[in-house]
Amino acid sequence: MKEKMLYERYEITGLNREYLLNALARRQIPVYYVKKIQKNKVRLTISASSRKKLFAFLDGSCYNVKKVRTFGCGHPFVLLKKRLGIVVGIAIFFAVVMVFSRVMLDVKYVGSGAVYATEIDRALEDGGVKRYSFFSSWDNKEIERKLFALGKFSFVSVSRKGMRLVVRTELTGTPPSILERGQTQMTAVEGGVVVSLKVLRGTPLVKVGDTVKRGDVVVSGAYTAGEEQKEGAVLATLVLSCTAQVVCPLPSSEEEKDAAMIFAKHVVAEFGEITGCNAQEEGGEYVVTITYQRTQFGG
Amino acid sequence: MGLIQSIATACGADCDTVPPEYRVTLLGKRGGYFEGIKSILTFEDDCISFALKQGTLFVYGRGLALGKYCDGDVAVTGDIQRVERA
Repeated sequence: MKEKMLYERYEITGLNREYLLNALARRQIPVYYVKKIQKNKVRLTISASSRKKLFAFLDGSCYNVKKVRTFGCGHPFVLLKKRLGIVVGIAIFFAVVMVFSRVMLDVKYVGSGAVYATEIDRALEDGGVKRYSFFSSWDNKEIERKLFALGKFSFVSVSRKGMRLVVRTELTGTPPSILERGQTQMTAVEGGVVVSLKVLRGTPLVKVGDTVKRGDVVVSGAYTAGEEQKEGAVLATLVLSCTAQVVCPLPSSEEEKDAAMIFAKHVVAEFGEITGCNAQEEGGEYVVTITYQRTQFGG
Repeated sequence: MGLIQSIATACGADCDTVPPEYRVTLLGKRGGYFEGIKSILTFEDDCISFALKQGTLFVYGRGLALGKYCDGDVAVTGDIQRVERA
C-alpha cells in the first residue's frame, strides 16, 4: 500500500513553531492542517511517506512529538497488515463456511410419511443422497420421483433448509372416519388382534392381545346407574393389527416380485399403516401377506 | 483565459513571462491561498505573517490555521478579515 494514501497527525510541543514549520518546508515536507492548540503546541499532519524526514529533522531538537492518529484511504489496509492473524482467521472461517454450506449434514423427515423413514432413506441412497455429500451431487426432482415410486405417498417434497435436506411426505390413505355420534356400541370393522384400545366412554369388552372378528362388539355402551341398567353412547379408539393377502400371478423375475410387493403395499396402504410384509409362492401363485395396523374411532 | 490570468491582464501584468512576486486568492470566509511565500514569521490564531521576497504580508482574521504549507504555497483556513502588505 502506497504511503501517499496515508496521513499521520502529530502534536509537537516546543518553542518557535514558526521555525519548525519553515524548517519542514525547506526540507520538502508538506504539512497540512496546522493549528495552534496551545501556547507552545501545534497539531499538524504530514504524509506517512514524509515520516522519516520529519523524525530525521526532529532528532536531537527541542521538540516533543506525539503521534495522535493515522488516517487516509490506506489506513484500513495498514490495520489489516498489522493484524494479519485475524485476517487469516476470518478468511479461513469464511472458507470453511462456504464449503460446509454446500454439504448436507442431516436429513429431516417431515409429514405423516415420516413413519417410512427407513424406506425413504433407502430411496435417498438410491438417488445418491448421502450425509456429508454436496447438495449439488443429486437432483431433488429425481429424488421426489423415486419417493413417489414407492407408492406410499400422496405428496412428496425434497428441499434444502440450511445444511439439512428436508423430506416432506404425506401418506396416501383415507383420513380417519368422522365420529358417529350417538353410537351405543362399537364393533370391529375388521378382524385382527387388538393392539390398543382406549375407551373414553363405555365398557370395553376386549383387551389388548385379544383376537376379534369383523362385527364383534368391542365396546359396549351399557352401564349401571344405581340399580338400573342404562345404555349410552360410546367413545373409544381401537387399533387392530390386521393381515391382508394379495394374490398375484407368479412372477418370472426379481423385478416382477418387487413390482408385486409394491402393488400389494399400495393396495393395503389405504386401510392402515403397514407394519410388515411377506411373500411366498403358493399353488402356482405369488401371495403377498401384509400386516398393517388399522385405527378405528367409535363414538 | 482563466480568472487569475484575466485579472493579471487587466492589471497590466503578464503572468506567463514575468511571474508575480506573490499572489493572494481569497475564498470568502473559508480562507485564502497565498503563493510566493518565503517563510512564516508569526503563526497565531488571529494573525499570520509571511515573509515575501520583498516585504511582509500580514493576514488578520479569526480561527486562522494552515491548511497546507509547502513549496512557497500556503493555504490559510479560517475567517480572513484583512490582508496587509508592509
